[in-house]
Formats: sequence, structure tokens, C-alpha cells
Amino acid sequence: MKNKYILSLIMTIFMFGCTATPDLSNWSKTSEDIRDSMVKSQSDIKSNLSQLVSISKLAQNEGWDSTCATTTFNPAVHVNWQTAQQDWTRNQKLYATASADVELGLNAMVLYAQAVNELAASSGTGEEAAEGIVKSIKSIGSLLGAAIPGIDTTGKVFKLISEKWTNIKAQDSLAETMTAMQSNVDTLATALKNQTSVQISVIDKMFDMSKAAIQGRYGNERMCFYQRVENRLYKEVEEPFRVFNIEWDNKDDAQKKATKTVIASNLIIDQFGVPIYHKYLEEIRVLKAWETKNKQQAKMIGEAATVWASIHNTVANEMASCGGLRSLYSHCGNWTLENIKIVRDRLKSLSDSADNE
Amino acid sequence: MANKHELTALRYLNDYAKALNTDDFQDDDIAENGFLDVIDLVQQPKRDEFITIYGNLKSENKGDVFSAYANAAKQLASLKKEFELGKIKAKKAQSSLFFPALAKDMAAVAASLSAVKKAAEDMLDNLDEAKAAFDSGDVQALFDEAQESKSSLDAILDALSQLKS
Repeated sequence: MKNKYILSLIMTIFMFGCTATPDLSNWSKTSEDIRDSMVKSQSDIKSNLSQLVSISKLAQNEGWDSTCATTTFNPAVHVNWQTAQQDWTRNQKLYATASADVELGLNAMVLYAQAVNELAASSGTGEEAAEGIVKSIKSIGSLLGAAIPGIDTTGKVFKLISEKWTNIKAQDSLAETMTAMQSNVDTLATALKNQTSVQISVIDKMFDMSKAAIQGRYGNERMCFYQRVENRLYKEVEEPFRVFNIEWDNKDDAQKKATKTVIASNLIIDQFGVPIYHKYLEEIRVLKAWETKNKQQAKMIGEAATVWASIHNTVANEMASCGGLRSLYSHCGNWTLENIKIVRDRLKSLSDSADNE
Repeated sequence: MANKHELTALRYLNDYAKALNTDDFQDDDIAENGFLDVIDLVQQPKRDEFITIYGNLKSENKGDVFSAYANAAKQLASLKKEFELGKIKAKKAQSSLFFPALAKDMAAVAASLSAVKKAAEDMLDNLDEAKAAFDSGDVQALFDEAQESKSSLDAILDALSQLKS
């Protein structure tokens, strides 16, 4: 009968003394998502950097329009394609080294998060581990018999303690590990936020250069002209038609020939030039979409890192104040009316069955 | 007197400056595209003036962004060691969670369990009164009993703590 009370008492302690160990699997997965998103984003940028190096080279060889703006949108600024090629080759190398550094830090972060998650998840495996030990204890029952009579009861107590104790030890270890790591986690979140913020500036700069390259390839002045043609804003586009219709009879042959040439040119521009202008606009639109998507993604990574660190902080604090045996403190709320009732009913049922023995 | 396009361009320029400060890319895009659409229609010399302001806003504080990226990356890489240590700590904690570590010395396990048993038996002395409280559903009395049993509880916790070390 006494053994049942021992069991129930230990059960009582552990029922009160068991703060739920948080499920950190989603948190751990978030660290992988952050790492994977950053790697993907960097890879996307690396591939575009490689294109920019090739484009600068081609621009130099083909002598593209160099009156395009870079960061200032000022037609007075000329792009020097040779310098651009050197700059972007240097940028490409710098970025490759930097992205490898970022991956190193983030890979270590992911492995840490996975280890913490496994530690939290292992808190419920004590009973299973205890099974093996109980078998060992039984095999050397004679040794234990001297200390605690009744090997079966000892086995039950042991399993119970092992199961609950594993949970408590895991929570203590979680608290210890996570508290010790919190400042590093915060530093990493800040560093990652800075990193993504600079990445946004990198994307800005690449956008400017890519846009200048598209303008350079199509010809900035040419596209401006087509734009005006399409908008029918240019007087000289309409003028020949007006002349053709109204003043034709007053023109001499040379004037008629010149007018016909201008009209033919305008018709060609309408038929062939404007579609080119649309193609140019589409390339700018795709580039803009690339810029927006990557900047948005960088911003989200920075924000996710902040949330990730804050969850780590919450769990570390929770485990440090109410994890393990500290869960017996009244402020942890385990001494609830509901818990007390459950223990009372359990003890009553054990007590009743003991009285009947 | 400012014409309509001038005012529109100024409004977009103002929105663009605000969006840059808040890192709101959508607003940033809307304002920038709006400005670029209308700037050609602005008369000189205002057009050049606005373009200069726009250029300054866009390139402000950027410096050499690739070097800045490399510097920031070094800070991330420098945390690698700390996180590796954190990982080792968590793994080590996990491997020492279970009793098997103690099972190498069964006599120690037996002694620890015996200490738990002894402390629990001491606590039994208070159980009769506690049982009455359970039976009557007197939660306050149960709580009081629990408080009185604290010394026994502490003994159990101490015994368990020895197992932990």
C-alpha cells in the first residue's frame, strides 16, 4: 500500500512540476526558411551580377548609348562602360565572398536551432529510455534488493521518475543553453537585419545599372522619341500629315519628296519602332518586378529574423523562470484548481483501492 | 507660378522621400514611378532641379554598398563559432538527459532511488490530513497541507537534484 502512496506522491510532485516543454519544431523550421530564403536571394543576385558583368563587356564592345543615367537619372551623366565592367567584376567578387560568409553564419544558426529543437523534443522520451534501464536493474536485482526491496515497484518508480525527470532535465538544459545563447541570437538577428538592409541597397544599385544597360542597349534618346510618337505629342510627327493633307498643292517637287520621306519614316516608326518601344518597356517592367520582389524578400527575411530571436527569448525566459523544478513556483500557475482536483481524485482512487486490499 | 505637372512631380518626390524613410517598397515604387512618368512634362529649369533632388534621394547614404555588404557578412560569419558552441551544448545536454548515464553505477542509482523513497515516506506522515482535505474537496485546506508538506517536498526535490548532478 505504501508503495502506491509513494507513486502517487511522486506523481503529485511531477504533475505540479511539469511545465509543458514548448514545441520548437516550427521555430527550428523558421531558421531553415530564413537560411534558405537568404541563400536563394543571394543566388538570384549572384546570377544577375554575372549578367551585369557580361552586359558591361558587351556594351563596351558594341558602343552602346552611354548617355543613360545610373543613379541620378540625369542625362548629363555618362556611363563609362569600361569602368562599369571593372566595377561590376569587383562587385561580383565581393558579393561572392560576402554571400559565402552569410551562409556560414546562417548554417551554424540552423544547426543550433535543430539541436535545441531535438533537445526540447527529447523531453518526452524518458519512459522509453527507462525501459532499458529497468531491464538492467532487474538483471542485477540482487544488488538493488539490498537497498530497495520489491524490484517491480522499484522499476515502476524508476520509470515514472525517469520519464518525468527527463522532461525536467530537458527543460533545465533548454533554459541553460538558450539563456546562454540569447545574446548571440539577438546579435545574429540584428546582423541579419543589417545584412538584408544593405542587400536592399545592393538591389537598388543593380536595378539602376540594369536599367541603364537596357536604356543603353535600346538607345535612350530613341526610346524617348518612340514614347513621344506613341503619345502623339511631337509636333513633327503630326506636321507632315497636316502638310500632306492641306498644303500639298502648294509644294514643289523637292518639298513633296521630303514630305513623303518623313511620312514614310513615321509610318515605319509606327509599324516597327513602337513595338520595339513596347519591348523595351516590357524589359523595364520585368526588371522592376525583379527589384520589387527581391527587396520585399530581403525585408521579410530581416523581419523573420527579429521574430525568430524574439521566440527564442520567450522560450528561454519561460524555461528559466518556470521550466524544470522551477515550475513548482506559484507564479508559474501550475497549482491550479483543476490540477489540484485531478490529484485529489487520483489519490482518492488509489486510497480506496488500497483500503480494499 | 508652378504649373500642374510641377506640383504633381513635387508631390511624388515628397511621397518618395517619405517612403524611403519608412522602407515601404510599394509606396516607394508608386511614388517613384509617378515621378518618372511626369518629370518629362515639367518645364525647365525646375525639371533639372527635381531630377537632382530625386538623384540625391536615391543615392543618399548608399556609398559602396557592396563593401558594406561584405562588412556586414563578416559579422554574421563571426557568429558561426558561438552557434557551433550552442549546438554542442544542446547536443551534450540531450545525450545526458537519461538515466543511462547514471546506470553505469547501479549502486548510485539504487542509493538515489532509496533517498527519494525515504523522503516520500516522510511526506506520508502528513497525508492523512491531506487526504481529508482531498475527500472534502476543500481546496484551501489542501493547499495549506501542501504548504506544510513543503519541507518533505524539498527533501524529495533535493534527492532528485542529486540524481541530476
